[in-house]
Amino acid sequence: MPHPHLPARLSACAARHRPWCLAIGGTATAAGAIACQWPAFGHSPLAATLNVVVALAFALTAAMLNGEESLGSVTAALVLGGLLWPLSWTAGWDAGPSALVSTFAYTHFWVCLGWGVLRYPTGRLQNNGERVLLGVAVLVIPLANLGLIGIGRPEWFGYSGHPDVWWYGEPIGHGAFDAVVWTLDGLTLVLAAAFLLVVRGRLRRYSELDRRIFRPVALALLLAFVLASTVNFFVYNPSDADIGPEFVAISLTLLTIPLAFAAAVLRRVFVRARIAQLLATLPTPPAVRAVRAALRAALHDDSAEIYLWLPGEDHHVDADGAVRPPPPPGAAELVMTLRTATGAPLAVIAAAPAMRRNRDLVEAAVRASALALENAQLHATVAAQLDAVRASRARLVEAGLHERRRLERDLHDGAQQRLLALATRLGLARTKATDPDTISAIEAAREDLRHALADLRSLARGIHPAVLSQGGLRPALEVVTAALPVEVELDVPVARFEAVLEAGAYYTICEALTNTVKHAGASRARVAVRHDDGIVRIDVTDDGKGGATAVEGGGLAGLDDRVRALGGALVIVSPSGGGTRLTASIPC
Amino acid sequence: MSTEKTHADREEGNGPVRVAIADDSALFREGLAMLLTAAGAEVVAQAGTADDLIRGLGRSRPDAVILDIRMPPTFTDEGLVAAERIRAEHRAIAVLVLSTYAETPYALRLLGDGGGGGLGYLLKDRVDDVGALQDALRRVIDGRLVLDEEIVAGLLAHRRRADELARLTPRERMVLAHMAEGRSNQGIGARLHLAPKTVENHIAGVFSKLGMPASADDNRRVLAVLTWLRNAAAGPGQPGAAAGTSAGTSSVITPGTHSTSGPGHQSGFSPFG
Repeated sequence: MPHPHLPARLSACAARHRPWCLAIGGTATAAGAIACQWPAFGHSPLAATLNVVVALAFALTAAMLNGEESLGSVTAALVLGGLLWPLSWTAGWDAGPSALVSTFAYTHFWVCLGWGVLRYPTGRLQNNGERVLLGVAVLVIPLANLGLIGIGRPEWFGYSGHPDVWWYGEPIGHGAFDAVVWTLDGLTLVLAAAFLLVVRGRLRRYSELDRRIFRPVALALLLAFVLASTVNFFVYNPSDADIGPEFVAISLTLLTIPLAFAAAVLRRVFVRARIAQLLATLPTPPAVRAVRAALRAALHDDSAEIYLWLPGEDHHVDADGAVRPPPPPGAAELVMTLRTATGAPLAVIAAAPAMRRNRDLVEAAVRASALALENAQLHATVAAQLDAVRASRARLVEAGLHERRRLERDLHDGAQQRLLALATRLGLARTKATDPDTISAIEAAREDLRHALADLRSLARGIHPAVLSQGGLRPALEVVTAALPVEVELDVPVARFEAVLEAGAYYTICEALTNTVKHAGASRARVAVRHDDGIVRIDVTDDGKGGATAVEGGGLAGLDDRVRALGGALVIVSPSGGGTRLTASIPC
Repeated sequence: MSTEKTHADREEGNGPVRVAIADDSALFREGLAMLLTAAGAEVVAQAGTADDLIRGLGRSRPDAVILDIRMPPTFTDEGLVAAERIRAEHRAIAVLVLSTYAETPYALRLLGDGGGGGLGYLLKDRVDDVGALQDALRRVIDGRLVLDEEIVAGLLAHRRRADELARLTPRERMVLAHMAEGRSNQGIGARLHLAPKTVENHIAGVFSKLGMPASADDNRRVLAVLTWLRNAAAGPGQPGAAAGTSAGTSSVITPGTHSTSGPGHQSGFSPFG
């Protein structure tokens, strides 16, 4: 039902001045309720006071709910209820229109209540079943009421029948009247039962969050309906200043309705607070998965998903990091697009279709998670860039290794073999030569050639030791440490590793040993290589003078770069006078 | 096997030494073939890969094969693998491995395979000296072990046993080096111009000073010397050395079972056991 212009403006005004609204509305309601029941205060002061409290509770709840999105008609129903309930007790005046007002107010109070609750929490009726039920209730109850008054006497309704009391209609026989009343009472029960079914259907369709919000209100109203329709069999409506215990029971039940509304509002407030709290406790940097878990927990929606936009890669990823396009805007899910503070795409958040009813809560949650998601996006972007840098560094390392091996192979296959072929020819020439001068010339050439070959071999070995590719780390280290002037103990497995890792480890160890020989003044060194759980750990220790520090551009800094290039970490412990321990951990 | 000649057959025959060569460098192969031919050997086969050489062995029936280590297809240790195969399948053929690099682990893997003599590892550089080449070829054909002097020098230069080696006289150290290179008493005597008796005295001095068990068999003596030197190179008392597991860090030369998967895949086995 579209809001008329005036109530909307009133509602907006009331929302702006809530304290005034509460004070004035409360005072007016209390005063009105007391005026309506003035005669009843003499006979049943407690019951009358209770009715004032009910009216106040309705009015104050309405003032509290006012401003909640999509609850305009609910507020209106509560205001109306708060007005109609005291009016139902004007019968005590026993004068003028008191009986008519009381009868109309009492029946319409219940219609108004059903209408308000069915429009909760979305402000709309959900399906045709609900519309039919409300339509029937709105038509049947007032019409039946008008009709009953038309065919009955005030006494039959429990009124005193005072001649001052306005009445209309042509009474029929008391028996026929009773039959009509019983039929209508039955119809009321049917309506209450139908209401029960509608509520049950709703609870089934609702999301967990909606269920939690709607259930207390629906239960309170159902209880009141059942009680009222039962009471209806014995007492038609409030008819005099003496308020019976059955109405006290109804009033007490009615009190639970505003309480239930208040509880529901509190629950929504609590959900918002929970969202804020969950998002405040996210880890740093926030993982998208953690943000999603917080959203899901706060919204009670296990299907909520976050599709984070990765600007560098031009696609969305879900919270598990899998590339996944978000649902299109027309999808069944509630889809919300989130942008960064600068307006760049940040994420798309999809919630279950049932969450449309709580769009405000989802929006609040999405807004609250924006900062965390922005951080996550930044983190993911930086991580992706870092991955790219790492990958390119790994490719560079691999390309470097490849190039070294190619160079060494070229030397081996080219220059070295040519010189060795030359050696065979010199050897051949030496066997053929008889002239002493020729022989000595050949000997000299042979000597030069040996030096050339030795130089070339040492050059090739420096570029990339063939034994490393062929036999692995251990034989390569055996060869290189045998030539060192420091005693080196090797504790190295014979197992083979990836070529890049072997080369990296080899050069790392060689540089470390070079440092030991050059600077440490050590007499012994130990090289240990351990392979544990995807990590190769290299320890090079010596008994030298220690005090080694990495300086910019120095050997140790270069070592650090080398280890980092392999994705590893280098730790150097070198207390002055206490030897040096270099530990490199490289993932493999 | 029955079709192959034995050492005894060859010694009875008067023909030139039959040699087959496998090396992927055609230039070096041709040069070596010319040199060997000039030195009086008969080059009965030349191949660019180890597989080609092995396939032709039944036909060419060489007394010795000369193998490069790095050959196609992987350019890693084809020559060593081929040497192991030839020694397993053609026991009568001596194997001389020529390598661009003098790599101690390879030499020890080759010589430590427990298959006895008829095996040598030389640096390719030696081809400039026909005499040395001939000598090595003759020694492997005679069933001896031959090891390049550069490797022996490397082992002797190692610091770990420097103190113990310092107890040897210079002459004794030279005798030790020649023993490691695979020379017999007679060969050592000829090289050092010493009388056989003197050589024996030096050898006895070496064995007693270094605490090595003496052995009459020349090849076992080479292995004993190498084992001692090799232990020196890698260091004693390391975890795994005693257990000799393949995953450990044993550095003992271990004749016995051999493996083609790496120079370190050796099982613990004493040459004197």
